[in-house]
Amino acid sequence: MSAEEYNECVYKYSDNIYRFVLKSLKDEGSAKDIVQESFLRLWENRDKIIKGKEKSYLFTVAYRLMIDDIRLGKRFMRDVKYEDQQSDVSHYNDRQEILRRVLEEVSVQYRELILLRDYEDYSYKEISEITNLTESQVKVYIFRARMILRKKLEKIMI
Amino acid sequence: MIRFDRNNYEEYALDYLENTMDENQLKAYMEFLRNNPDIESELSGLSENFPVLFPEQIILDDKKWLLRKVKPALQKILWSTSVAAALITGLLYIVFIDGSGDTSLDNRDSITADIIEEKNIEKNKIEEIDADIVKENPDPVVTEVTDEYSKLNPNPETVLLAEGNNSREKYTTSPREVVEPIVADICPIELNEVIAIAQYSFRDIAELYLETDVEKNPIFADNKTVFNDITDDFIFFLKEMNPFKNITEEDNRKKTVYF
Repeated sequence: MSAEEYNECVYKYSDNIYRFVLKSLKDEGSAKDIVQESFLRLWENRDKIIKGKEKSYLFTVAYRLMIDDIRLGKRFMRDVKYEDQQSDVSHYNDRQEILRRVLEEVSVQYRELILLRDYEDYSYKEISEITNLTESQVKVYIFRARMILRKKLEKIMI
Repeated sequence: MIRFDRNNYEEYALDYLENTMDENQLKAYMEFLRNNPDIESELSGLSENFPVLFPEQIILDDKKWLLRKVKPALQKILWSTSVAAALITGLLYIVFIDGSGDTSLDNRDSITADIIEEKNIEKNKIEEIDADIVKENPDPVVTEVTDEYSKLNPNPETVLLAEGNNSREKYTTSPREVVEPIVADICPIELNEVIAIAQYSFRDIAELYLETDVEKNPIFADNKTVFNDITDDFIFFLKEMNPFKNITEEDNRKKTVYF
């Protein structure tokens, strides 16, 4: 991969990676750090990455960095902080707005999987490759996540 | 055939809801649901109100910090500018130091000092960029040329504009195969050695040499937009202006021209 091709990846995928991490972790600073680290690794491994797989590679790295971030315990503090900030969502009229809001209330793993599926349009197989879960696990977790979203959504909409 | 039960139905629920099961699987799954009405109700509710998120636009506002320098284009500009400026420097050496020009030695030293002072900031910037490039991507051509220069080991006393300047080796290059034949063709004297040292912009050197405002000079007026990307323009300059035209056969003694 040349520098030009790498820069092309920055323009094409950095918004997607940033959105994925930001929506998952809900922390702008961490999101930018992880985006930077993901692209750094893309550059460092540019000769090993199969052409056309750059986006999946970036999401894989970003996902695993998020797991590390969570394991380090940083997420705990942020989630507590976020709980304090939760507000009544009843003033949201748009179904998508409500869905985005309730998505933030599900566990980070479910959230990540939903984002990969709905925002990035990855197949279950591709998601399993990115997350290192089995395809069956991916399907079960996404099913459960949708069940939770639906229940939360109905609770608010009624 | 997969046997669906309460332990594995979740794994296939999305296939059922997204209608990606084959006919046999679908029949078996529907049979399972008929035998488990609580799950059927659950899936039915999800199907009626299936929560799918549409991507929202979130932009990473500044991407420049992620980008990598694209070496070839930038280096080409630096390279060609350096080469051109260096050759002019060499020409100045011939004209001024060897008595072909009218400028006195003191005057020449003064002008030289002024140029060095004025271009110091610009040179540092170029060096920083160049150092980054070389550090990230060592260029075999650069290495080769530098080695070639070191073998020549020129006598510093013969260097007019490079005294006290550390950038000499850094910007040394050898477009000799391109420029030397042209110089040989238009210069009436024999040049013993031609080496490149670049530290001034082509424009400043040209102005100094021509003692005129480059932009007002009819030869350069139409070429100013490409003035800093120079190889061809510099050859044009050599041929059109022939800076050697005032050099006589009497000057045909050993000279070292650094450019």
